[in-house]
Amino acid sequence: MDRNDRNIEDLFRTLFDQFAVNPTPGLWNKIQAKISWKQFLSFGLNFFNVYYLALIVALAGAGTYLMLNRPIPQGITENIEIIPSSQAIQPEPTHDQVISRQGQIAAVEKAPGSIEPASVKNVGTKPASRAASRTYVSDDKTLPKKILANQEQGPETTGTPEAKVASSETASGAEPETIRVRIDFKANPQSGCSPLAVNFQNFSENATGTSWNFGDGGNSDETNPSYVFDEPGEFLVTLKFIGEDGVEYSRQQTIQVYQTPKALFEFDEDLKPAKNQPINFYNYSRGGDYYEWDFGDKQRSGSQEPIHFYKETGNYHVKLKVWTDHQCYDSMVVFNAFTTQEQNIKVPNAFTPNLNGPTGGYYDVNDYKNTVFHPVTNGELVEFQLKVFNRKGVLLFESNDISIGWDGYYSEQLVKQDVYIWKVRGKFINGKTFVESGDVTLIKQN
Amino acid sequence: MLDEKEIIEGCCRHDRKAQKALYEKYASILLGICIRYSGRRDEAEDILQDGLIKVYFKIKDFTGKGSFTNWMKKIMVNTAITHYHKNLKHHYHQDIDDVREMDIEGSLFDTADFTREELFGIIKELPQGYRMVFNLYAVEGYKHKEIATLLKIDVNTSKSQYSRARSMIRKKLNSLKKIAEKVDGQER
Repeated sequence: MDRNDRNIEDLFRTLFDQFAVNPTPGLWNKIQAKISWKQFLSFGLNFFNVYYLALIVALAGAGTYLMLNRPIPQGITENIEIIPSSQAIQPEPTHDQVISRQGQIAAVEKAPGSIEPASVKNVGTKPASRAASRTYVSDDKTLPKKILANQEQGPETTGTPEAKVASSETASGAEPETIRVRIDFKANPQSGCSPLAVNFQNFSENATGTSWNFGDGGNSDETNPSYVFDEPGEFLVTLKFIGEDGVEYSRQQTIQVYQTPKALFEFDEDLKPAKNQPINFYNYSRGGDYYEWDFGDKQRSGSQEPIHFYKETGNYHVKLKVWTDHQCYDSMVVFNAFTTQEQNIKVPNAFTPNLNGPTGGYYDVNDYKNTVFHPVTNGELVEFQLKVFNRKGVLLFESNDISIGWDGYYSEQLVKQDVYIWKVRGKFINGKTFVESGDVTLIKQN
Repeated sequence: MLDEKEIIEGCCRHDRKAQKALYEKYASILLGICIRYSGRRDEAEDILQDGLIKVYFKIKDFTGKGSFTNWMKKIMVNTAITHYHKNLKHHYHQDIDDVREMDIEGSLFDTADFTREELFGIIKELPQGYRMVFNLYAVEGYKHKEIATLLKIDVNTSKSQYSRARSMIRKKLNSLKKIAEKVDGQER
């Protein structure tokens, strides 16, 4: 013991007190990056945040840029009128148009590859003093901008509403540029049983910032989303986006989700199918309109809660199918309904012993006086042992015979009214063993 | 080199220089703690990163009472526990219920007989749950009740895991000692 002997705890505590491991080089850079990111995300007034300043400057810059390049907003709102294309302006090839084409080319050259409102403006203003007015020409009833495409919610097709945006001139009606914005989508399927998975196919053209609202609180910004409607109901799906012409478009369609029923039934399990033995089937199904029972003996029934007579004992699979007016269905099958009962043993939790003296523990299974404490089994036992203890752990009763239970007496004396502990162990004829324990309340009752 | 007080003050101001000084001064010892809990270097460094971020952003909560190092160590331990919970499903869980032998002989050891690296090697090989309990109880000195709360396990689980971890460690220490004695004997 003169050695510096110590126990494990001390050994580890002493040696690990200054246990140091050198970190991998470069770890600091990672940490630094994380700090920067977190600082960026957490806004603090007490220290100056360069990133926020940069963000504000960037936003302000972007805002200014957008403001300057936007076509005068009043011009748009005032000119939003729906003019059927035929009567609105007769497009005639004029000299102006030629000029404007040139203008357009010039504009395109200035801003290649982009058809922005800016270029529209350029085109509109360049030849002479024409106001850059916009006329929406609609092929059918669809009206862009705030007029929701609410029509045509029929299940077959969503139609193909198209909107042409033309920057036209009041005088000549020439069309220097046309952005065709199309809003259209198709849902497949449009109705079905809950939970219903619906694929949306988006046929829209020249759209930016697509957003979907599925009407049950769900959203998506995918172009072709798939969505699952969990609950039954009627949902108004809205597709919204900003067209490349800067106008907001939206279109709606209804999706019908029907309630799916739930099949559930029980029956008198402890009865054996036999001739003239009625068996009750209890139907606990929800949401069903029609039922079909298959009793497994080639007999069927359409009633809700049938009573069935089997011709003989046997192995039957009972099946219940439930469906609704909308062809939503569910089914439930119980295989081997009456034969494959698990062998088990059950132990009661209370008994009332005979007050007039010990009975020896013999009992009759069909006697419901409950004067003897004994387990009940539906199987055949090859081994059995029952022990009963009192609260102090004293063994009061032991039996190795299932037909002998405890009568509540210990050395010829009735024990007091109390809770007693039992332990039961044994083996079924199929080899399955069991060990269970629990408590039983002894009640003295005249 | 900045001293501890300057580092703390600097970190309160989010001064990058002070943060780096803190890292350089304490990273290795803190990583020692993390690796003790995790057993794997890459994971330990993740824990260190998360823990240090917490240190940098919570440094104002450090009251100045008690040791700054211990405060940081505690944060590392807590971060390691968080990681343990997060990664519980990733770890291969080894059930060693069959480790039951309780050899009483040879439960005292000399500090001089073992190196830190040997001890770490032993710790590293423990199953994850045992390692957590052993570290918390033996090295950090937590009570079983506290460990149970921290690891969200039963007090008795903590106790039994600890005793199993302890007996595993003892076995390994003894075998290490025997090897050492053999080597010594051969040298003589």
